[in-house]
Amino acid sequence: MAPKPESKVEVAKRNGRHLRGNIAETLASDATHFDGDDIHLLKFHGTYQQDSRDQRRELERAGQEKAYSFMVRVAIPAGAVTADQYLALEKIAGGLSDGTLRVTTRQGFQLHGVLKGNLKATIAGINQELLTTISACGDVQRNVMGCSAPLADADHASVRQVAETLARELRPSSHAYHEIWLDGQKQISSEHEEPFYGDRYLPRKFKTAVGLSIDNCVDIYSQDVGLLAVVVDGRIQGFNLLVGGGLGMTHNKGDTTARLAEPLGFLHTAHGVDAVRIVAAIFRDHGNRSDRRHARLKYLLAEWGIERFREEFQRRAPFRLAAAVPLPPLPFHDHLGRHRQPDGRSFYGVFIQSGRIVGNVKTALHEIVTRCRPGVRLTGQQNVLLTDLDATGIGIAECILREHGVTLPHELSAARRFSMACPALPTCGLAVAESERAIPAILDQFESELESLGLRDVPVTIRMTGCPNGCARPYTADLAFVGRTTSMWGGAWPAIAW
Amino acid sequence: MSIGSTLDRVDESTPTEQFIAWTVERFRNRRLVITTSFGMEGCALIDMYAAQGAAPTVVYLDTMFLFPETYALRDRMVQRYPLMTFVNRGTSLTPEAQEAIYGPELWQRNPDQCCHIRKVEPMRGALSGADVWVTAVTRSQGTLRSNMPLIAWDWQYQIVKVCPLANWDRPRVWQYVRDHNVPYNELHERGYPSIGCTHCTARVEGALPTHYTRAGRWRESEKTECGLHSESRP
Repeated sequence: MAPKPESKVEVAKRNGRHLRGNIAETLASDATHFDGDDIHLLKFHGTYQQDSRDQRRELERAGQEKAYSFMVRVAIPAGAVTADQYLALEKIAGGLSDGTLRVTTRQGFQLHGVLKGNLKATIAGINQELLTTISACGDVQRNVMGCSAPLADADHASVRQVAETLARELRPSSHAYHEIWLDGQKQISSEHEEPFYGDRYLPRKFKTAVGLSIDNCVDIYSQDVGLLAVVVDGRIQGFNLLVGGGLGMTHNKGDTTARLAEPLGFLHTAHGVDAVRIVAAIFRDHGNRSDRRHARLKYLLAEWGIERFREEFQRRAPFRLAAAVPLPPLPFHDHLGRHRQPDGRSFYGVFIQSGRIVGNVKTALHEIVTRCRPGVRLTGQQNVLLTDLDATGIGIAECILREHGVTLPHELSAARRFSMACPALPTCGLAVAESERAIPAILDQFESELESLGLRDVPVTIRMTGCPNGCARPYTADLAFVGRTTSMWGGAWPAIAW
Repeated sequence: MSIGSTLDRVDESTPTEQFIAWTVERFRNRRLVITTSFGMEGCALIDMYAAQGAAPTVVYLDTMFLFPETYALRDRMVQRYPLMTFVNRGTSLTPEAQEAIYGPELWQRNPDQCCHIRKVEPMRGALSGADVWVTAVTRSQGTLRSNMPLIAWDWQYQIVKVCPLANWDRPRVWQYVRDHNVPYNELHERGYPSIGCTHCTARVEGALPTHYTRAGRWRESEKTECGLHSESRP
């Protein structure tokens, strides 16, 4: 059988000279937006070109251009930033975007509504704070998740360290990012520029997480690859290597599906980084490059089966996989409220509805971070942990949150506390229905129903996404709403109106 | 950056004077209430707020069982700090009425209930309408107070609670009171380190004003706290 032709995006990547395309030229021009291949290449730099879905039809009817803006995503391995970085991001968001920061479900920050004229200043500003947007999106390893709670121990610390190493090791090495956004010296693209990724990068996004068997706050079975630290008596014994998870699917395409990762084997912690690199390399070499709907690692797993995948893995690995350690269902913690750190200080987890730092929560966080200079950590549940606080810091945090009318974690109903939602309309180009704008009212209804049934405090995870691609991980929730249209093709028109 | 600027950092090591200045500025448009039983710490704290030019309302709870020396001290404080308003928000239940309802010598039979009626409940009223509760408790006043943050949300009374002297101890307070000529209860010099109601406060043999102990409080029982400052987190 003749090989299928490569998809449009594959061509864009190959012709893009390692993520360059015409981005620099268009950036320097008066254009309000990018065209063609650059739209795909931009993602690798950590930004999506979007347009206001609320205004789209109206503008179209009036014969006007779409209201273009950009989403900019900051990749933050295991979700840890400093107080200064947080305040700087807040300032950048305030001056150059719609003014809000949004905690992503992968422990990053997103800015929305950045106009093209502000795009370079936004990305440069983020880099000035020693943060980056590269590979926050695109067909590469995405932001590496890891438990961000400054809890005990060597365990949590080493998980964070592995997450950071992975992020560094699998970051694209193209100079394009520096050339375009940071005024780095222009270099001629050469075939040696991406020794690992090559000129077409990965076939599709690749999601990595480092988890703990005692706390699955990173939702590890939903990842393309997971290093699951097996903790026994407070010590990490090694990693269970999980492969082939992924939640994105397409409505009305029965051969697309959400899939949980399965264990490939058990390995020494020292081999964790190499193991992920090998899995990514197998994906790079064998993943589907003709149909993007089937390009995720999970479809390769489904096609090959775990045995063949393991053979291929062993063929490439300089170490042997042992049998995966059987584990019971994993507990998970949201880390909200007050907790002691091993160093005697404390951290405080603040609930952020749908991860959107806006209004009174934003004001309160600003004052706490300014006043107490805590570490700021993001969780996979879109919440914020304020760390390294002394007793007074915790007191100040609670008082300020209270003063601004922010509901404290233990006062939240379980339904709200464990809820998540993606941004969807009006910014996301994939959305076919509401999500973030709709979930508060729906949670209100759930709360009163559950309350009347006496189930207010029973933990239930309710998640909502505006499309079937699953970024708020609806398929691993207890109860989820996945947006779809009323049209029989499942296309993007018309969206369900609320 | 000026003292108390909204951009100042505040933590455990913030000097007390600066911390107090911060509370004054941070809660400028809020109702600050200092509550006190006219112990040495409370008098010192009132002086510190007065020194900042602040005039929060001072609320005390007249349990109707206070020592004459305490009432005398109250009068001296009122005179000394004319800009501050001193308000009694104690219970209206007279000792006679209490006896009629709960029986004689409730403080003997059930001191917790007596404290509840005469202090813990009235405090609710004392703090109603207030936004910030300032008290002079210190961590050195006993194990139950040993973790008192400088500022915290008080779950019992649902209010911001500020304890500027959390890091202080009695010798330092004594020094302050002497240095600033702050009125204090003369009972401190007669062997009463901590002073509450007449029935439940005993003299501690050999106790000096420089040393704090709650040994004289509820001497007959295990009880050491009236219940105003108990940490009850959800």
